[in-house]
Amino acid sequence: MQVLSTHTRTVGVFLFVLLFLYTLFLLRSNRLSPQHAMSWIIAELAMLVLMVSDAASLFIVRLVGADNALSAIFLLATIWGVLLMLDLLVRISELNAKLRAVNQELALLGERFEKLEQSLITADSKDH
Amino acid sequence: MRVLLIIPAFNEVENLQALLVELRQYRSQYDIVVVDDASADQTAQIAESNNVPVLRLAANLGIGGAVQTGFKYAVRNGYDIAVQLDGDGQHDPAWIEHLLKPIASGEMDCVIGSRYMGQDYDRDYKTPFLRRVGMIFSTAVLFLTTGKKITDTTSGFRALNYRSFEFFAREYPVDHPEAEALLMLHQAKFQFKEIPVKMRGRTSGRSLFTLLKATQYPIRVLVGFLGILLRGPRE
Repeated sequence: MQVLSTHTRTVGVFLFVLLFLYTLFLLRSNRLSPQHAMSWIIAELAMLVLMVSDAASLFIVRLVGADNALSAIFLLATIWGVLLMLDLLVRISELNAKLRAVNQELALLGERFEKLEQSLITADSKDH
Repeated sequence: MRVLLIIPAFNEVENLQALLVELRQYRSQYDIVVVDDASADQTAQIAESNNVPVLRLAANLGIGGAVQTGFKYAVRNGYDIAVQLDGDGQHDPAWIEHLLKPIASGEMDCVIGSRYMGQDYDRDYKTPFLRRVGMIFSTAVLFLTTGKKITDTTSGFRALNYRSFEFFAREYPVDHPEAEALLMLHQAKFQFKEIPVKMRGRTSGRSLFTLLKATQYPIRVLVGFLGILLRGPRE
């Protein structure tokens, strides 16, 4: 069973460290909420451990029955990526439902407000 | 009985004006509300100039979201019956009383106006080919899942009693909601049936049922039905 070559390991670690730092930057600048960042940070740290540790990558190789560490990590990353996308779709659907409810409520309240405003104007003009 | 006509409208400035003028003779019998689905034109202003209450959606929700807003309005204002009527003027208001009869008598919870029923098939109405294909597909899927033969699954000309529109005010399908809504009614054991009606062609504006939507429609119906079946009946 082949472990990662030094070259692959270096490139992989470099890219994942960059990705990790970018995630922290997004978190720090408030463009990414901690709630949403959690799954990404866990995934990035897990990938870093697999890149650095031969024991961890060999464990994954045996687990999935791959020929080498790179294929096993690639398979794992793909599955993780699909799961994260599905998680995001769930969040989008939930937000969509909430946004629809807010939008409808706004329309209903707007109509009620106009009706009240009209009745106040009518009452006011009667007083004068 | 208090009856509310719900008119969802998206960029229907010309058709809506004609429809509201036509509806003036029914104003003593029915209340009207227009749901403006974030139109870019003067749809909301047209409704206002005809003294009709308008529910202005801040962002476009599509036909399902717009109709559901009307159902919510009907619930909050204590109506007994709600009638859906498209803002494009294809639904002739003269047929409303026919839709209302089975509901007022307590026979049905929901009545659908159909263009394609038996001997009374509306031969004057020309259905676009792609819409017809989509409709045959949804009729077949609905028959397989409910055992009921509904000939006009995409008809948006419907009357509902309080129980059924209150049910939809809580949950209603989003895109192409008509066929899915019937499956939801069936699952929740509501009684519904079709009656033959005549519809008119659209005089101006464009249908939202585009080529892209028509090609997606069969898959959309399948996925929508699957979701409803997996969720099971709602209370």
